[in-house]
Amino acid sequence: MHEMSLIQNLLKILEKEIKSPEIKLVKNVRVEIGELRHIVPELLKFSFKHASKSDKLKGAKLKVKVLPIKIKCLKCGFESRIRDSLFACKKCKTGEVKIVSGEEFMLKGVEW
Amino acid sequence: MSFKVIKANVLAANDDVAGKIREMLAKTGTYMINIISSPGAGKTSFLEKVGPMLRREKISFIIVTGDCFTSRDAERMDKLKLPVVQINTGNGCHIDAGLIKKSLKGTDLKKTDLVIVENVGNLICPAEFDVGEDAKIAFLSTAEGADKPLKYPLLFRESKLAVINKVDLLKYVDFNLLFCVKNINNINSGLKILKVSCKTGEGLGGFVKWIVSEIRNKKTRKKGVSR
Repeated sequence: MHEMSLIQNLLKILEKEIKSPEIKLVKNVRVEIGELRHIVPELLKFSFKHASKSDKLKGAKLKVKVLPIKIKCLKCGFESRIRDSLFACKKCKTGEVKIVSGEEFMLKGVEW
Repeated sequence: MSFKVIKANVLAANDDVAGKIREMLAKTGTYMINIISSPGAGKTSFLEKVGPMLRREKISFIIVTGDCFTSRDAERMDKLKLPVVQINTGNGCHIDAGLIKKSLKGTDLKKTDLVIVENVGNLICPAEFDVGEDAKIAFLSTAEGADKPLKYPLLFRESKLAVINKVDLLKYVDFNLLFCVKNINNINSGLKILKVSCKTGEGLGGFVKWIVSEIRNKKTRKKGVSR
């Protein structure tokens, strides 16, 4: 389970971001994860809940948004969504593509 | 409810250290590979065979090997007098950039052509963490399912080379090599694939040839920059 070590990385950034005194008890922490990242949202939430954190974060909930895998064709520019591990352009079928979404692991914001 | 919008890469701290390692290796023209596989695919056996071959090619190298609890892999390499640093990750399932930075402290990179990272046997977490390598190597074996690439596409997307080990077993197992190669091509059409056997030595020369040319290219690029 790598979610716990990912949460440790998240907390390092998060604790810095909420230092300002205007931020009181945090209610929600919003993150975005790409589908390609092999992160299980339930395990990520579980790890967040049980990780040791500062008082401001004690009651906070982790809100996870999963972003789909999308590629852009380097030949024709067409963008398509990947559901089947076939990283090829849906229009011109070439494998020369770049991933435009699906690899993210971003902290997006906090609410209090 | 009040809110603060943040846009931060959660793995930035790791990526920063990885970036520093990459800069360090660029200065000395040292090439780094990060070998990633499931447990039992044969990473250590591969290095036991390839290490002496690299030495014959006059490549100076160091092996950094990751394991959760034991130093058995390092002991195996030490028997062959291969230069090795052992990292014990405890409960951690991968090697991160910080661990690599620490493990390279005693190494004179100016005199090192190649750093070989033998990651913890796991196809998920090691693919997530950049350690400053020039190339990730996706390493699998014919004793596993031919659909492995489909199940772990991130690793095969991020790798520069795929190695299929234990091809000597093909006549005994139901591993469909063509299906596996097709799966790899579907995920990463440009990925180079090598078929090897640590048991018979088949294909290992191809790997040595590949790595020697990668090291040479990096050194040439370094000379170009410093000119």
